[in-house]
Amino acid sequence: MQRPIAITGTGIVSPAGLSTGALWQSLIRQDDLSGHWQKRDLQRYPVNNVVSISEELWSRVDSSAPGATGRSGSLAMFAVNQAIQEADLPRSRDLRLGCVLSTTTAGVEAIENDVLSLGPPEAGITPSQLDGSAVLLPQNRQWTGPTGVLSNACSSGLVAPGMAIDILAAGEADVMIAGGLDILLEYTICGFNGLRLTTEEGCRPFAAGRRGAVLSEGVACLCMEPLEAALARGASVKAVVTGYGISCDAGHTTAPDPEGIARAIREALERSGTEPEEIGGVFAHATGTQANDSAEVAAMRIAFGCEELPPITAVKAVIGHAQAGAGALTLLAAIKALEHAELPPTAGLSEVDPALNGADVVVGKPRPIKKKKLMINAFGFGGNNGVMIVSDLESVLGEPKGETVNA
Amino acid sequence: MLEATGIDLVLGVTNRPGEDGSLSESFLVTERRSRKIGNLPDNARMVLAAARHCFPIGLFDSIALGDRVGVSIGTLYGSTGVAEKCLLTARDEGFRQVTPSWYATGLPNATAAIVAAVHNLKGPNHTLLGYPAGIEAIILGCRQIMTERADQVLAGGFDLMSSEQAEKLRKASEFHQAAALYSGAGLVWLSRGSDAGNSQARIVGWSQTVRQNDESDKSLIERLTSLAVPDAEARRTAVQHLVYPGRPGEADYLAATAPIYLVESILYGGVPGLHVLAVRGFGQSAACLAVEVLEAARLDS
Repeated sequence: MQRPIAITGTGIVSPAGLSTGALWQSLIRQDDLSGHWQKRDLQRYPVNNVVSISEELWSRVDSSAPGATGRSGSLAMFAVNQAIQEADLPRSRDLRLGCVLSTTTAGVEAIENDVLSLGPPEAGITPSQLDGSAVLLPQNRQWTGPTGVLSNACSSGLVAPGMAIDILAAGEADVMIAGGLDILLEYTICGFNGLRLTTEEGCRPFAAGRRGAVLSEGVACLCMEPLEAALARGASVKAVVTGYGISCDAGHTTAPDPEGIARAIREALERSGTEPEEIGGVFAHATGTQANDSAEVAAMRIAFGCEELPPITAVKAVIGHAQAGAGALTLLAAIKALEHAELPPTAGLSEVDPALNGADVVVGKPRPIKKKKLMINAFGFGGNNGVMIVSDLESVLGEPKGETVNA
Repeated sequence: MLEATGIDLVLGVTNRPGEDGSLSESFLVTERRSRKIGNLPDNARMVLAAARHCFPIGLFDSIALGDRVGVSIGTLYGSTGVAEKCLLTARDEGFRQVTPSWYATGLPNATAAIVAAVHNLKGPNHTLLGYPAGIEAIILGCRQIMTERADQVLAGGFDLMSSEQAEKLRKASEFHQAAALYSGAGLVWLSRGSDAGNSQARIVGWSQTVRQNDESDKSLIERLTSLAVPDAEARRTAVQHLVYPGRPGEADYLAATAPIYLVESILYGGVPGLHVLAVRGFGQSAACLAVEVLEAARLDS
């Protein structure tokens, strides 16, 4: 069993706002935040429907992150600082504090601004501006543990906290900040248009007539530390990660493989010491494409070994698909769900696709959580799959303790 | 004997131009398509050309190496060339002229994913960004073995630039003193010790930290070494190496620089014993890998 990891701080910038509370309210209200990109006109592309962070929010983020490189850097700095502040970490020079962030396109921001002549005219691109790791790891923070910038496509936001768990398990750090982010770029919009994975109609995960994803942007970060250490210092524990699984399909670049996803689910359950019937809800990856949503449901049935699945919900109908930010944003939504003891409904959905054979998708209104263990999924191009199991503190403390070392 | 991590470095391979920049015919695999993937981007063809030497099978022979073999690769610029091509094509020729597969196969993680797909490596598949990312990826591979997420990991770094990109980068102050800026790849095969056969080296430890303000390279490497090799007696015998962007008079391969150095100068450099390789990048991040090279390590193996 995995050593339980406490989440003691969170940081977020999403199209819904600058707090997890704003995210939660948006999910409960089933807001439609989509529209045309405010930054510039994109009429050259068939689909120009995104969920973006408003310029008003951007001005607050940018002003809170002085010295950051570009908007990716601003997002990273804002959320990292928020997570550290919320965790109320001890001010000790001996504290080994590391950071793992993730992105798909942070290094592309400077190129796009240069190619499309959006930057200051005198500015030339420096090597460090193209280096996602230099852009994202805030320079004003003296990290004293391992750092890294991961790029595992759209699974990154969940895989980065997974990587942090492994660093903590290996004893290389006392506390890790981890999360994912991406900003909207014309490059990404162009790429998803080319793959015909986006829709003008709005993202409708698990609907029969679902037509694709709606791209978005955002960041989510978590402060993570071994549970026993968090309890010993009297930290406020928002949730506990009890297991994490990862796999690679080793198949097609963009077509998901249910068997590959199922391996990640099984690993997460096994490391968590959790039986499938103990899962009280699933925060699905659910991009709203035909292939992805079907594969995800099929994978859960393979891994769980039965047709009946726990209640499933999806957040991308509200906050869109923030690529490397998606997994971490979804994780924060799951933490709020544990706090409120209910699953938010899947917005934009009136009838679940009959082809999903009765998958129990939460529709219409929030659903009370009966078992306080939630599963979060995040998948990405390249067949990267990440799955995490989180629980609330009370449930974890009420359970018999497993092994204390990740093995 | 040094206290080791139980992780072996079984072998290492590099793929880079000659000192004069000339490319051999084997720099890219000749195959341009795979049944699973479709068109193979040049990034992946370059890394596959190196990776094929790690497998005792044909490039496209399908074997099940199991779910426990991972891939962990670092790159500095990953997809930036594809991004530039996409944006310029959309702007100058129209969106319809953008090839749909460019985006997905041009993402930074596409190379690691393609290597996994071609060789059926279904364990954890990671891509890290940054100049030190090649060594960070090897460290991550070791960590995957240590935490029992994988038994074996193909790890290392790559970067591939067009001549135009290389020319632009050469103008940056960071690379003024470098002898040349080349594309390249450096890979190592990591294995849990008990699973390894004739290993070339043992992983003794690793460390990652951030360079303090005004910290000298000497102080940085000493600090990294102390973290990676707790045994003070062992540290005294260690040969220390430092890699950073644009070392004077040396060819630079971006994120592949440190893995190439590890393979060619340390693993097969002819000096057995404890070596500590530290690498720092453009930001403050720095990483270090400590390896004990065994007497038997030979380049022709």
